[in-house]
Amino acid sequence: MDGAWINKTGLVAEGLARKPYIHLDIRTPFGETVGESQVQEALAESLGPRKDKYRLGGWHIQFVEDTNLGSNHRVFADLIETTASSGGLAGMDAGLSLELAIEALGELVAAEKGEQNFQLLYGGAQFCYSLLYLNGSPFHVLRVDEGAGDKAAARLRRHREFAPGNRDSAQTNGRSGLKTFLPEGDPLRETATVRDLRPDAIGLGAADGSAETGNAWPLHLGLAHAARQRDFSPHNRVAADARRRNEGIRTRFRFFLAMGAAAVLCALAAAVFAIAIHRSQSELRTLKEKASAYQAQVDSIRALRKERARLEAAVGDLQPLWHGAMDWNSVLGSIASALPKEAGMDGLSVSRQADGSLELSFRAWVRDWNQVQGIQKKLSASRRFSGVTLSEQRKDMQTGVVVFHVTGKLGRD
Amino acid sequence: MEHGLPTRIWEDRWRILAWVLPACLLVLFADRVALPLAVRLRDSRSQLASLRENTYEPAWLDSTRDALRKDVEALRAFQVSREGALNRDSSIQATVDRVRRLAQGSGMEVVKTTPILAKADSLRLLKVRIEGFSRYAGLMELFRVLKDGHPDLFPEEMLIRQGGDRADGRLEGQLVIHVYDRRKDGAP
Repeated sequence: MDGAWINKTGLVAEGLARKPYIHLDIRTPFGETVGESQVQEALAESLGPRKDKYRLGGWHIQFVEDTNLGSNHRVFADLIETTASSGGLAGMDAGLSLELAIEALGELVAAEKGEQNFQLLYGGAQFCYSLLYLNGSPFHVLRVDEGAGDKAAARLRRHREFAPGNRDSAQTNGRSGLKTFLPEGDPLRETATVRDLRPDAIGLGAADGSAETGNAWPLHLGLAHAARQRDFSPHNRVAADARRRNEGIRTRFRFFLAMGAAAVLCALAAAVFAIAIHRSQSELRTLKEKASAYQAQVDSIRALRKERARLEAAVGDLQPLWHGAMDWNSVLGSIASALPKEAGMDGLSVSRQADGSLELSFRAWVRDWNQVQGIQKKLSASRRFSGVTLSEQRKDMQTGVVVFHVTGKLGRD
Repeated sequence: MEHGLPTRIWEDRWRILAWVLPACLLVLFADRVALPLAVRLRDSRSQLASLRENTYEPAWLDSTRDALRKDVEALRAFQVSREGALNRDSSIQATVDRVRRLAQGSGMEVVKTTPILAKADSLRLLKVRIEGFSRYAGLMELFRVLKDGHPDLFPEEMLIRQGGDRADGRLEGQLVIHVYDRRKDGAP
């Protein structure tokens, strides 16, 4: 058994077949339990002259019945031949006799079927088992060193008589209130004796026996269950050193597993951080590139603002020159066009005001009073003149012309 | 006690190590790697948040820059044109002589020129008052010459009327021409 298998399996148990065992009935005062010395004494008494041939391997209390005479304890004890070597397989965590596996299987059946009283049968190629389960506890285990067949079936059926109050086999042809359970595919089902008991099949969620393993799977299941039970630990034939060695292998494996898991966790955390940082940095680079472009534009805008401020200051210094030179030819042409054909003008005066505006005035004459208003309208219609007023309108008695004075503001180009 | 404490510890060394070393590894990793990475991530995210807050609208930047550029170009062109309207003559007398020659060249009989020096804001203002007699056509010619060939001369004030006995049928004109300049040191 190498370390890999020890690591893969939580517990490796060896089923010890055909090992001697004995049921001991020990009565203690009411409420008291059984001790090691009482078991040794009871074993010595039971073995009688054979006590030198066997020694106690392990024991556990199977069944307790409180009576008015005291507490009756049914103790299961497996025995070790004094001359036999331990001879177990290397690398095991537990080495238990198969009787214990049958007991544990009975507990599984009780839990699965919800039965408190039943007989569990198992038929093998070389030996058969019967477990009587009474009042929710294993009561008695019988091993028959015969392969599954009529002879073994008859002995297994008679085992039912061990159950208290179940001795009516003669009247009921062996069928009492005690249920019988048999694993699916068990060869005992082929026997008429067992068929007559109308056994219920038990599957326990396990597959039927394959050609390779036969119907050994109930024993494997029971053995695994037994190896887990603390009550059965005294029966373990595997030395403590070997168990510790297995435990050492498993804890060492768990250590490396924990270190690996921690390393993977660290790597995952680092990877998550790395991915998050990479994404942030990538987005940061993109935004920085954009910000750089923005900054170039902002710098350009800032430079343009400075340039504009400088130009505004420079242009401000040139404020008297903001307006270009007047087109006086155009001004005089506009005035001339506003006058009728037979008209004249004199005393054209242009003066510059403090605010830079220009005021215009001249004296004109026309032939008819009706022409005066037309002149004002034409001048006002021109965009160049504003606030045009006519004053001092009089008729010259000598020439007959109408003389008037025109004032107004002159707009710049 | 069957086994001493050191023996038990040695037997359970793998179990103890399985609990202690991964925890130490995790603590060490958190201290040396995870926390610095978390700080770096936080810095990156704070920078991201800052950059996201201080973002610009590209359309606004473009339109603002274009508007500013147009303003600057217009101001620059305006400045160049107005700078060109400054008088570049070497002296006041040279300007007076130039004005008088222009008037005479247009057919005006100049009888008086009067320079008046003043100040207009940041510029120096020279007012050249020129009096004389001229035909209407000569006056128009003078205005045309001033407008087309001498952008630094601004006829701003005038009085034009029928001349008297001496005018010989011509108009009597009094023109005040404004001339702006600036000294090299910038003072008016």
